[in-house]
Amino acid sequence: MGITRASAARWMLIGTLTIFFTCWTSSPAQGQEGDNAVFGTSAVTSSTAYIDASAFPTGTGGHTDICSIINSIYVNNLVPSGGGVIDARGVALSGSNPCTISPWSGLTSLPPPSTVLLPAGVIVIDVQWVIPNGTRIIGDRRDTQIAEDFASTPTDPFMILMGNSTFCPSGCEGIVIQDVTLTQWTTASVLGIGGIDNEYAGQFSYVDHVVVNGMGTGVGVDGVGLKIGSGAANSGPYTNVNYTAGANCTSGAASVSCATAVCVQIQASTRGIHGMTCTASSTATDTTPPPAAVELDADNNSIEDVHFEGFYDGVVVGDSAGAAGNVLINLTGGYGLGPVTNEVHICNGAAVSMSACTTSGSAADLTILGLGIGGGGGSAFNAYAIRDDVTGTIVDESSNASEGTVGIYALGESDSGGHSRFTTGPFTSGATTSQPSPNPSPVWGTGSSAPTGSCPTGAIFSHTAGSTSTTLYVCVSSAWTAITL
Amino acid sequence: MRIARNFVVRWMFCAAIAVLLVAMSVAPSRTEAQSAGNKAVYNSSSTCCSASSAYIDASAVTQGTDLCNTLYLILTGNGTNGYAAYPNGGAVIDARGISGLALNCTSGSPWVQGTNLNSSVATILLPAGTVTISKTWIIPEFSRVIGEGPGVTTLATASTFSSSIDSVNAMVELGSTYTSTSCTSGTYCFCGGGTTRPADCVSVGVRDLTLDASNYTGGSLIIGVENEASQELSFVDHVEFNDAPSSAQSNGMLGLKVYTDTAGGSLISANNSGPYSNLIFTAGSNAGVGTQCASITGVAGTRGIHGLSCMASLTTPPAAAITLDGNSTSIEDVYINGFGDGIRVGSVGPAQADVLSNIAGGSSLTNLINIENQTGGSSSCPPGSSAQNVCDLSILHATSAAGTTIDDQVTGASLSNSTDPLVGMYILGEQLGTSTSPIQYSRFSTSPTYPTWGVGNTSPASGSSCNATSANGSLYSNSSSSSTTGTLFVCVSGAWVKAK
Repeated sequence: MGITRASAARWMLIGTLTIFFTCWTSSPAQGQEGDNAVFGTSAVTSSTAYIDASAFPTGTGGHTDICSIINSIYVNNLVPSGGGVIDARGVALSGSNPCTISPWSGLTSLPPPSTVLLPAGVIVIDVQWVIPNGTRIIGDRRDTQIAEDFASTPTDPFMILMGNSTFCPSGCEGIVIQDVTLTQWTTASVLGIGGIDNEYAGQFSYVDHVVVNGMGTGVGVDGVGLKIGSGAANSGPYTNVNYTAGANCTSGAASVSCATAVCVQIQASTRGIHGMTCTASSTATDTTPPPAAVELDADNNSIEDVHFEGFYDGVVVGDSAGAAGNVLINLTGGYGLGPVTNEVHICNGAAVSMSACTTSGSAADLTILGLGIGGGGGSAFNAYAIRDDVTGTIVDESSNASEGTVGIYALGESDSGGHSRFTTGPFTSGATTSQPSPNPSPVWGTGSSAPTGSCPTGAIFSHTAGSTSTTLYVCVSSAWTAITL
Repeated sequence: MRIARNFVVRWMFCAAIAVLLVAMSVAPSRTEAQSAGNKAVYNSSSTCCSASSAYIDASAVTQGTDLCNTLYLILTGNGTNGYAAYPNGGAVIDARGISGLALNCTSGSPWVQGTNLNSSVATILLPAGTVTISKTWIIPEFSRVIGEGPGVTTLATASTFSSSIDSVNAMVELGSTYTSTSCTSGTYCFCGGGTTRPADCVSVGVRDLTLDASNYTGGSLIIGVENEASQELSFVDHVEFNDAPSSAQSNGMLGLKVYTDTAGGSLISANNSGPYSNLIFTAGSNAGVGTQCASITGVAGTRGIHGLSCMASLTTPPAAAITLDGNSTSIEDVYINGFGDGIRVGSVGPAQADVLSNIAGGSSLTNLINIENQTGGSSSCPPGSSAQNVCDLSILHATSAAGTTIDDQVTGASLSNSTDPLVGMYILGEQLGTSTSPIQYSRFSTSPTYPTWGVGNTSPASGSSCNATSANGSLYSNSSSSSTTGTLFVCVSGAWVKAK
């Protein structure tokens, strides 16, 4: 009986160990760290569909923060050569654990194309990020914040560069930044750092749903939200962008310089900007408000569905270089956080006080459709839909709370001392102390009766029921004069 | 001896069990951070599995009564109610693994169950298939609902569908102006704001799904997506609206409603929202008379509608596919068929500085673009006076297949399909002069039916036809430098007359 019992116990032991080792040996096959676990035909197996960065815990393997984790994935060549997805959404973030390197620091060769998914939370970066060719960084809506806390100002003073000469020796393609907020860390000491600079990335490179917020919370200057340099031809579109100038521009004090608080600088032909809001805090009495939200200094760009507040000029065209063949559609300016004096300012190679216009700029062949500008804001303030220094024209004054609008304003080219131009108006309202004496804004009107009232000199009118002596009218000295044919 | 041997065997057995338990307790499949719904990944030992919180797989948590209830329980998880504490910063909730009867949402919405609500931030990935909804889905700030594609993921109304806590009869709302004492005093529950400033949700979006109201039998107009509370970075993209009831319905479906009324007491604003892009609206023959694709109302501008196919097949065409009673809005790349008006501009409120581009109409359409000649106290055409609702309207490339391409009731210009099936440019400016009856506007069109400016390198024969009598006042420039027959001509009474 004793032998039997001992034998049973022995068999139980053997069975238990057998089960244990069977379980052990049938455990999932080994996979690469960060691989996804999926069910295979007989057991759980690894999938390289993406690399989960949370499997590389901070504090181990030299991983000190999210950037070093991602960096190690690149450095150790864990991204498949054909490209892959690095899913860092499960990495816990801590402001006390900032990124001391870029995710792409120290790479000795170009990494494979990749998509990096960033987590919600604040990623504090101590150094600039330079994104390689074919790399996309995608946040978790605007809840992914990348906060600048640089130790010093980099040569190119932006938080993120879309490529550089190392990563883009022959130019880059397919660099994407999407669904992130760029801001300044609460204790940042280096100020005036911009958001994104694209000097190298062309086709299929774009920015979408990106917020650049408060790039200057103390003294000093504000940074540029988005710069599209001359090497970024055919990049874009740049869509759904939101820029808010930092606290530097909120005081309204004359001593505060907000000259670099620029929403977007465009220096290349691109797929355009579609959907954007640019705001800065200023007041109507500021003598140095942020000069311009958008500085357009290149040919062949479309800017559409954009709203401005608080900048002296909304879009300044040709302020420091030639700008021709551009299209502006559906722009609005309002006195929200501050006034917009000129929604569109067309430069003519002359410096203009409070504006970004310089002697090296020029503009031509510009088409503008659908402008709305609001003045007011609780104080007497005049705003203008268009200030055209090329033809010396100011279109539509909006005073106080009223809104001025423009259907079309198409500026052509120099012609016999003047310029080809067409607009549906409205019409000059007169100069103010801050604006030049404007030329009239001739339009072409039509109606089924003879025109009446004052008119912009040079305008014409077609009377659709007129005779040879009452069909065509010209406005001379602000009064309509019939032309006898 | 036997006792001793038994003792040893017993201890060996116990030790083996202990080893097994220890091994199990430290096995790779266990991690301290694991929560139901975490995905499994290979860890630093290259073995499976560690938990990753990259997203929450809703199919792996304890299921609620239905999909909506499960999502609500995840969003309200606090670590003690059987669900992990939901991250304050929000998370991606992957519900693509849920299927079957659970897709019949009778419990409410992911954010509202009965009178209980939460406004947790989330990106919710919906599964393929039809999710039947009985209540409005109110999506809070920073949150997105994303399907697997229009026609693949469908949110369909139950026959018993009714509005949620804010009484807005919409399938989906981008934020809400709902307020209650359970929320912070004086603010809207989902979008801040309140009695002193408009609701202002940011970055609310709906993408890649179909909204189907075919089974809705209520007597009120049902709205597909309503936005009256979300502004910057809020959008609708790749969404299909479908209303094909099996029997005749009394009202109908309004696909998209974007509404701003900051002058009213409720401070409603969808200012700077959009774009609303890549939309398809289809209404069947039994759809209600109120069928409409989109409505944009309010003086504040939007990012516009970019890409829309809008089709109805009712026996009596609904009045208008799109009503535009707002300023500074761009509508482009649109096809419309089966309505009275394609785009009706300024019928009930100001519509200034709008841009319509690449608008095409089908064969069942009365007016592709109808510019209403209405006046209103809030209109500012020109600024500072009460005038027509519509001014500074730019139309680029309108193409009709029937009816009227552009019916401009402000200036009385009607460009019919018979004479102007294609219109390259039609810009209605502002009032010129003092005559209001008949009204005089600055205007430019490339249509030769009304005053335009032609050019050629030959002169029209004196007295030759200049197309239509309505074109009286057209100009023609002869660009030939060698011409001796004239350079500038004016159309008078249907014939060209040399001016110079």
